[in-house]
Amino acid sequence: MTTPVLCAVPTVTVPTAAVPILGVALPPAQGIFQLGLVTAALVLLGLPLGRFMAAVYAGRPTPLTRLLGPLERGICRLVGADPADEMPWDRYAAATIAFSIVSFLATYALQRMQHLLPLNPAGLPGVSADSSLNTAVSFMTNTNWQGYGGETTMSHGTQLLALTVQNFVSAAVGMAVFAAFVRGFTRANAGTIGNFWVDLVRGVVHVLLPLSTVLAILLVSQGVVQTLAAAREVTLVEPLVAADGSSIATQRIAVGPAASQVAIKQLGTNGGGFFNANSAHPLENPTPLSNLLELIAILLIPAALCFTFGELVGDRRQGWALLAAKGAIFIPFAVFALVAEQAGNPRLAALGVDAAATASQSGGNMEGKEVRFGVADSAVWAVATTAASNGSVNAMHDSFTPLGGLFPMLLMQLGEVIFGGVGSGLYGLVVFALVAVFLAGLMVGRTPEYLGKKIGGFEMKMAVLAILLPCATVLVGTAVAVLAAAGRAGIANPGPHGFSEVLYALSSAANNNGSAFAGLSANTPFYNALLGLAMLVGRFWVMLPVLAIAGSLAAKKHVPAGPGTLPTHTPLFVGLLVAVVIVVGALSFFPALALGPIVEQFELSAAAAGGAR
Amino acid sequence: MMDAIWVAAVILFLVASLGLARAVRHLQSGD
Repeated sequence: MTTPVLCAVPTVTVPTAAVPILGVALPPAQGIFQLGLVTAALVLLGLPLGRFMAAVYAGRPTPLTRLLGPLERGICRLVGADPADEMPWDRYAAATIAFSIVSFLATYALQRMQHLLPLNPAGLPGVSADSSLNTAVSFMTNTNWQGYGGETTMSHGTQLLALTVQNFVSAAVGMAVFAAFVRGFTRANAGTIGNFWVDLVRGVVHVLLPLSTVLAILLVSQGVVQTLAAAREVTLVEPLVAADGSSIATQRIAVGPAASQVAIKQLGTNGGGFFNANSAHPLENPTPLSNLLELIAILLIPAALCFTFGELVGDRRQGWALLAAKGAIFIPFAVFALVAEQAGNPRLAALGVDAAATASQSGGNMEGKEVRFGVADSAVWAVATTAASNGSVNAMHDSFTPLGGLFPMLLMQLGEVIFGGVGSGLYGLVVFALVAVFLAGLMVGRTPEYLGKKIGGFEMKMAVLAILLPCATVLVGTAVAVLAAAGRAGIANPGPHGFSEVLYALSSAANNNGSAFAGLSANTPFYNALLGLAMLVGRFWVMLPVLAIAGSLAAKKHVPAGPGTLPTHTPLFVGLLVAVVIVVGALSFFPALALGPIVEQFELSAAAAGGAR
Repeated sequence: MMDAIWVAAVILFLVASLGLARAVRHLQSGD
C-alpha cells in the first residue's frame, strides 16, 4: 500500500504503514524515509559548510570575504577587536564571561522595560522579574527555555532586539569556544588560543547571518509570517457558540517578525520560538517543506562542524569519525522513538481506539501531535531537537509514550554531545574522546594521546569536571524540586509521569537544550530560579574546563604518531567513543529514569495485559 | 528590589566562575 507522504517532500510516494511483526510495531516507513533524507542532506550540505567554517575561523579568504569582509572589519574596529591580539585561555574565558554579562543585562532590561519601548503594538506590559531573569539567562546560555508565552508576553521589540539578537550571539559564543578549543590541538608550544571578539564576530557575520537570511526567505515562501504589524482580527468562516450561548464571529491571530527569529532559532540550536506553541504553530512551521527545512537546519551546523574539525586539525578522517559516532547514537535513538510512538498507547487500544497506521491516518500515539505531521515527523523532530541542544518542538513531548519520551530525555542527559549545540556539542564530544583515549591508554599501559597531544592529569581532571557537573546538576536539581513543596506544586501529573516532567526540565536546563516536557508549571519563582541556575552551570562550568584544556594542550608540543598510538579515526575508536558516552549516561541516569519513564511504561503494559491497576 | 537581587545573583555567579577559572590556572601552572 502506498500513499502520498504527509511530510518531507509531498510529491514523493512511499509506504507509510507500520506493520506489526511478532507483536512489535516497526517504525513507519515515512519516518525512516525522513531520517534518510535528513542524513543525506546533512552530509551533502554539511561538507561544504564545514570546510567554509574552517576557512572562516582560520582567517582564510572565502567566497563571501569580498562581500562580508568589510562588515567584519568594521565591527571589529568598532569593538576594538584585533586578530593579532591573541589571548591565553583564561583571558579568552574572561572575555566570554564579560560578553555574557552584557548580554544578560541587555536581555533582562529589554524585557522589563518593553512597555516603555517602541515596537510594542499590542501594548504588552513589562515581563515579571523572575521570568525576565529566567529568559535572560536562558537566551544568554543558548538554552532558550521558553517559560513564557511568546506572542502574549514579548513585544515585537523584545523578540527582535533581545531574543533574536541573543539567538545569534549566544550561538556564536559556542562556535568561538569551539574554534579556540581546536586551536589547542593545532598549535604547539603556544600560550594563546585566539581572540574571542574576532571569533565571535566572524561566526555571526560569515556563518550565522548568511545562513539565517537564506533560511528566513525560504520560510517566508512557505507562509511563516514576518511583519511588525499588530495581531489581526479575522472573521471566522464558521462562527462558534460560546458556553454562555453568545456567538463568536471573530478571532485574533497573533503575527510578528517570526521568520527572522525562526531561522536563527533552528540554525543556532536555540529553539525558543516566536509563538508559544513553537514549531507546532502553523505560522511558525506551516508546511511539510518548512518542517523538513527546519529539521535539517537544527542539525546542519553541529554536523558541519565535524568537517570543520577535520579540516582544522589537518586530518579529515577525524571529522568523519566524530560524525559517525554521533550518527551511531542518533539514528538508533530515532528508530527507537519512532517504534515507541508508532506502538501507541496500549490503554487506548484496550478501549477499542483504532491506532493502526493506514492510508488515511498515521496511527500510533497521536496525543499532543499535529495531525499534519503525524507520528513520524513528530518523533524524528523530537529526537533531532534533543540530540542537537535545540529545544524547539513540533509536538508536545509530555504526550509521548513513556519510552518515546525517554529517548529525547536521554539524549539531553548524555550531555548534549550527539550533535549538541553549535560548537558546544562538538567540544563536548571531543572531551568524551579524551576520556576514551585515556581509557584505552589505561588498558595498554601507555600515555594517552589525541591528535598528536599527550593527554595528562590536568586535561583529565578538566574533562571529568565538564562531563560530570551537568549530570550532578540534573540529579541534585531534580531531587531538590521533588522534595520542595514549591517544586511539587508545579507538577501536573502526580506519579512517575510527574517525576519525568521534573527530570526532563532539569535535564533540558542543565544541558542547555531548552525543550520542555510541558505539563510542568515552570513559570514560577522557584522553577525560574532553579532552572536559571542549572542553565548557568551547564553552560559556563563546562565551557571553562574546555577552555582550560585548550590552553593546556596549546602549550604542549606535538608528538609524532608511533606504532603504539591509538588511531582515532577507525571504527574501533568510534565504537569506544560511543560506548563511553552511553556508559557515562546510563550509569548517571538509569536510576532516575527507572523512577520515571521506565516504571510508567511498565504500568501501561501491565494495564494493557489486564494486570495491575 | 527583585531586579537588583536577580541581576546581582547572576553577575555574582559569572564573576565567581571567572574566579574559579583563575584558580584552575594556578592549579595548571602547579601541575
